[in-house]
Amino acid sequence: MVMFYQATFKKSEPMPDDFFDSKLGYLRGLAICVAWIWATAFLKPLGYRITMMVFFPFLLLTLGRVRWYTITLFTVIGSVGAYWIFTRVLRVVLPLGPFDGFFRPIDDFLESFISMFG
Amino acid sequence: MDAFQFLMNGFMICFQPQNLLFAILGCLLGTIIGVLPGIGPAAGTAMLIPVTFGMPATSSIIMLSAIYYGSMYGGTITSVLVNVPGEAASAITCLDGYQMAKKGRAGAALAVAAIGSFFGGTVATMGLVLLALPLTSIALKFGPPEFFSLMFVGLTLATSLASKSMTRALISSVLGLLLAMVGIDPVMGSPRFTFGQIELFDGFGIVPIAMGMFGIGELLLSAEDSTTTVIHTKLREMWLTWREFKSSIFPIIRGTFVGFSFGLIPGVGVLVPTFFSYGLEKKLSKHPEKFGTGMIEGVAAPETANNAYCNAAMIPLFTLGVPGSAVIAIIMSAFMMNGLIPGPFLFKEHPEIVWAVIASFYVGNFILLIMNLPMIPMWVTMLRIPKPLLYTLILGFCVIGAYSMNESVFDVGLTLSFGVLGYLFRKLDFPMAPMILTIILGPMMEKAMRQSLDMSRGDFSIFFTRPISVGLLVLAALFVVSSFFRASAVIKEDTVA
Repeated sequence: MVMFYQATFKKSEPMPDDFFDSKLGYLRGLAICVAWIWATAFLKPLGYRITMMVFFPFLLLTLGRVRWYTITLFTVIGSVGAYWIFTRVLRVVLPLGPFDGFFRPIDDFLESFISMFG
Repeated sequence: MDAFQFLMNGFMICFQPQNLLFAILGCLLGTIIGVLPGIGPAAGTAMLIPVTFGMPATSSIIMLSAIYYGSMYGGTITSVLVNVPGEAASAITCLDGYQMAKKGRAGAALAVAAIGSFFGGTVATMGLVLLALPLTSIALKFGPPEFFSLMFVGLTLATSLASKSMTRALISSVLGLLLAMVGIDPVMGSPRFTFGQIELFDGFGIVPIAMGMFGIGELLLSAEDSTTTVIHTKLREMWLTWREFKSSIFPIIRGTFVGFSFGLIPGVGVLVPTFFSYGLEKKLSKHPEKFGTGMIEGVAAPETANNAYCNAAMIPLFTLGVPGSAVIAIIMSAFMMNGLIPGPFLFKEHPEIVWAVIASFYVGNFILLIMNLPMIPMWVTMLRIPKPLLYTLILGFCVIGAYSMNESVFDVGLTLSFGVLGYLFRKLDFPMAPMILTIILGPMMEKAMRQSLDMSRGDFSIFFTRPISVGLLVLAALFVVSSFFRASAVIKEDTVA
């Protein structure tokens, strides 16, 4: 009844004060959407690691100013490191890609490194 | 065995080293989630579900519950120190907490919040222990009509209390009901609104919805704002003065009562008890005009109510199997992932798990109390993480969380869709709670209604001839009538203005 009354007899409510923000702000939001769409589209065909190797640097470069070594470190930890932790330690299944053979030496290295600590 | 013995057994399980470790880890992660703006308890808990996949059922539920109440406390820290609530429930704490911080009493504000949260949480858990078994026996008398009416009350409350604008709350609820219709018809078994997508046969999962609406939606909104919060607060005196302590005692007790009472009703949401207890303190105070200038009562009462609510909100889940909020629904999905169905039979079939989880609430509240005060400087440092790094980290976690729940990229895409919806909801000032709750309760409500109608061969009078059911429906009608008057008053106010 309230919906009917307001929609029929009342003027539409004004937009909230801060509805229209800066153009740059919208571009950052758009960057998040683009990165997410990339992840949705390529997570299965390319696998987690390759997809995230694009996902992380893209976001870091578009969301603000970040130094190149931070981007590199973040990308390696977020893609290869996170994959290893989630799949091997936490037993979470993440998609493998056609190029995952390239990462086998890294996996083996991490495996042997951890086994050194028992 | 009585409740006390069950609880003692629960403590024994909870004190096993691995469970204790997961409780500590959960409190730590929860506090981080609460401290960091951008991820609330619902999105944070959903995001961290994959971390618990490899764990035994008891440990995983203990950890998720610890994340939940840890995040509730974490939100307070940023409310007090930088005037930015880490999660919605702490918004009211900003009013007096931040003013206290400006006067150099940030330590006292955080201390009273920790003490109040501990007291409220512990008392509410005691209530859970005392009420769990009697309520379970009452719940066993509930048939489908009673369940339907109970959930109807929950939805009515969620809609009528969610926003000042009744229209917006109703639109949110109706949209939620529409989305809840998607999936296989629970009685006939035919697909509805699935458009041939196999992924939609089970309906929308709570994890992509919560992560999208609360997590991605908030990030999209925060990404618009390029300003960085500069933290100037200094933590000098970390403890309360005797006068402050004395002024906080009764607000803490009242806050506990308010939070606990609201927690028993599914659908109320955490905002209502916190705002209610703040309003109550203001009304009872000899100096209501001083509220908003740094009154310790304005921090003690809502923070206590917040934690008391969180613990008490588990009662409807454990006894009736009805989740009262999005976070509780996520914890419920964690139960179900481990093959446990929350409800009256849970106490009978898996008492060891339920009582261990209940015992973990006591332990978790204690961990939060001793862990948080000395670690406050560390939490403040976390707020200095640059936004691009923080957002990228959260988004990376969200991708893993969204995918790993069902190993489905469809869910990843769905999370973004709900993220955009959550962003628009925030932009247009629509309340999200009614939509989320209708998506959660909608299918359960529909099933209960269809079963009731099967029982009565299609006769709707079954809802009005059973005493508990009719009582609940009368309660719902009262809420509808009162909210109608409230909405009319708002319309009148607008017309005069």
